Amino acid sequence: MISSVHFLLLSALMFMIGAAGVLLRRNILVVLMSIELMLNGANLALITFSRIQANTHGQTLAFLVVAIAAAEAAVGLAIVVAIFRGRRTTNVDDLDLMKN
Amino acid sequence: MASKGEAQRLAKLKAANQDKPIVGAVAKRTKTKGGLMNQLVFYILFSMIICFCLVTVTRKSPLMAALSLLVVFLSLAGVYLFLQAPFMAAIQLIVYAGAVIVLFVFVIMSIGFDEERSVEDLGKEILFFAMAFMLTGAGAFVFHAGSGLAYLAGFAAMELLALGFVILGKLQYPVTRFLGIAAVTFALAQVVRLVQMSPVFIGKTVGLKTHMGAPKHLFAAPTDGSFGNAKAIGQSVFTDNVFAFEALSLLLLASVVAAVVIVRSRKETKEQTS
Repeated sequence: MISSVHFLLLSALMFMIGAAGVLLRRNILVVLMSIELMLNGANLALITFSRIQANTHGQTLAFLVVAIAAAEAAVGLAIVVAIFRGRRTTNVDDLDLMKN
Repeated sequence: MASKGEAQRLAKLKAANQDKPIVGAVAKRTKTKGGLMNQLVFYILFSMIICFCLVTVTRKSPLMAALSLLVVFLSLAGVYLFLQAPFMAAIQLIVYAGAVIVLFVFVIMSIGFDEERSVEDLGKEILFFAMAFMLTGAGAFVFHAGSGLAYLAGFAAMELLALGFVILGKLQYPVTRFLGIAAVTFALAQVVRLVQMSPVFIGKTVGLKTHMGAPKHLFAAPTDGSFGNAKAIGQSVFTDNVFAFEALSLLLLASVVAAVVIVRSRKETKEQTS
């Protein structure tokens, strides 16, 4: 028998690993992937709570989150490509255009 | 007034979908259905997700990160099936595994992938991780049955083993690395088990009640198989959440236009405007 605690634990761990990736990694592509991990962790929590309550609205919200994550990935990667064209780098530490 | 409005909303909801139970009106609660086989599959998926998340975050090569992210998404679709969300599982496969990963790999390839390691090595490494984590998932499942003193002794032994293999793992021998990763994930599973055995969780299992009148860690029992299928989600999206849906379509249009505008180089823009 699998209790809901295990699903929530999985979602929390995914979110934490993703957050660690966003904070610690220097490669902008890996940072974007870590954001996807965090979104997936949140989605798993939503679907678990939806199942706990036997209420479809949580799954609907997760569906909307998936669409937003896809849009975010498209725009984010477009920005990465644009930056790489101009500056030949994917290191977030080199992206200090707004400094000074 | 607020409670009256809430009652009206619930009544309306009940009328709208009579076959589905609503919040607060759930009589019977269960854990997820199925026996040992289901648990085995779930814990294998669990350990695979955690470990490939770690691979995604820690690998140097972005291509390796993208491929392990793909494994995470595929396993997560399996977990969604355990939660009776077949529609979300399908969406996960189509949108994440199908579209987002392809986009990532495409960008990685187009901006150059200057790793000395070949794709064959990456495949080998992925296979290596997959095997390690399937094994540890199975191990965690077997250990799940143990309890009491035997369990604590096993836990201590696993921790020592993990420590030893992590130290040996630095020696770059594939076998010790494999065992080291396996032992670490096994130890992680044991920590989960230890937390479960702590007084708070034991209190829950002997019947601490929530405000809903049911133990917190149990699932509501859906009345039929229609929970979470495409029809139920569609009904929810196009009736109760139709504004969110319309806003989302606008957002997607905006993001498509934004992506095209951002990626188009300045030269092209100048040529077109002049």
